[in-house]
Amino acid sequence: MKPYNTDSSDIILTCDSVCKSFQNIHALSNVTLTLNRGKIIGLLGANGSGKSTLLKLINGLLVPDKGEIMIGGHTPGVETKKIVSYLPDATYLSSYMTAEQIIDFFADFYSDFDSKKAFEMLKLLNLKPEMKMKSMSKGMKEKLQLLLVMSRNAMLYCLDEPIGGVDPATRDYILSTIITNYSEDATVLISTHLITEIEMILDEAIFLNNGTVMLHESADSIRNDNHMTIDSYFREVFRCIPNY
Amino acid sequence: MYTKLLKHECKANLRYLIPLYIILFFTTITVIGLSYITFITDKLPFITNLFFFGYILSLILLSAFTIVLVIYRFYKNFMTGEGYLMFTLPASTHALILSKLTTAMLSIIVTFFLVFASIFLVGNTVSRSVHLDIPMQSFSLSNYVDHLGIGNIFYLIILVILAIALQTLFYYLCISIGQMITQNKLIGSLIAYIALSTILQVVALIAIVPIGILVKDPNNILSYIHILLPIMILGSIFITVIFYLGIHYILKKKLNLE
Repeated sequence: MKPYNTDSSDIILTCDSVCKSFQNIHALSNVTLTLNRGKIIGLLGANGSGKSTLLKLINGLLVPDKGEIMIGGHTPGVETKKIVSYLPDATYLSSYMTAEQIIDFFADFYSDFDSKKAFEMLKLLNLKPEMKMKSMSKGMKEKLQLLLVMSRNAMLYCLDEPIGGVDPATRDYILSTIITNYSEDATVLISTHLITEIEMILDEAIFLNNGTVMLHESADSIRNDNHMTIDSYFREVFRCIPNY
Repeated sequence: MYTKLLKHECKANLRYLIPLYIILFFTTITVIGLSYITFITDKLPFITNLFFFGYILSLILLSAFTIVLVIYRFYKNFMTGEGYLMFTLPASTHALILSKLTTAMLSIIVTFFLVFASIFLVGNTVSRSVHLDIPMQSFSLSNYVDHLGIGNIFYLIILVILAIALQTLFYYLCISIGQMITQNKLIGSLIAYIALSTILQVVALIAIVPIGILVKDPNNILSYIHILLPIMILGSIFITVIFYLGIHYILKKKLNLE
């Protein structure tokens, strides 16, 4: 597949023939991607298509079996972790810590973390700084984890299923937080299977199926060329694939 | 990043240990107080003995808890959901492991120091009040220095520190190996523990053979201690490094967070 973006000065991330397998299951097969700065990109696919695996590889939580990933000119490591802000699909904060302690923790480790912004967002959420993680509902935890990620002035934000498992009001809040809080020259990579909810904020879409990139186009191109929403086109593309 | 990680890890450990150290302080004071009362007035012997029993139990539990805490912190922080936070911090794998190891060793050393200090304080009074005839030389440091020599005491201290590091890294390695198994990570850790323990015992048996040849008079083993201790130190360093490199490799290349 021809790389979608070719302007090298704007490139934040490249994946070159990346493969990853787990116990003979090919989670990713020859994934080649180029992502530019300043875009909101949807990484779309069904459960098990390889979205989380790709995000983990980008964040250095996994090592590719083959191929190479470069972020800002570096392979995943200490240097890329300084510029990549990651929201995993898991509760990753210690249950005994308060919101304030967690914000202080982030401020201590990330030089690009904006504590003032984090506390402002906390106030908007009506979350008290002294509230412990274990006292928070699932929705509150999701919001807190998101605000921590979006309070960093990162070059690449990787959000793994940020709107899965929460109510519609929380989903709207999460999407508006993403749009209003990332810097314009940063890239946001959002993985989700809830395409309808997210497609209106996307600049580009990547379709992933069984670890393979099926498509990487701008959101407008998909809609204009096919005269349908991204969600409808996604269903169309995957309907034609045997055993999908 | 190492110092930041160390700071946060120490804070996390202290929230468990400080309450227990406070309890140790009060149980020590209580046992000493009751022992004096019994010693002077010959009253409350039953309560004194009961508290003494509880005190011994608290020492064992505090010591065991510290080891469990060290293992728990590594597992919780690196192998569960918290691993997503720790392994995406802009810190090297070396910094992550060394901060955990340093905090673990400090926790164990401080706990055992406090336990021995408590035993030393209690030993002077309880031995008389419960009519135990403990020779006071066993509490005298100078007695050990005279027997073993200051050089061997130094070697022993190094060996104890290395033993703590080695044992801690052994637990970490078992947990690291276990997490590579997608299903039943805890069972994987247990299997790794049994397998590695067996290997270590075989290695120790093989290592004893040349020592057995070297020691011509087993009844006078203390006379060989100036040779044995450096050999044990070198062996411990070697195994510690192997364990550390194994943990580093697994966490850097074979991490398998759920």
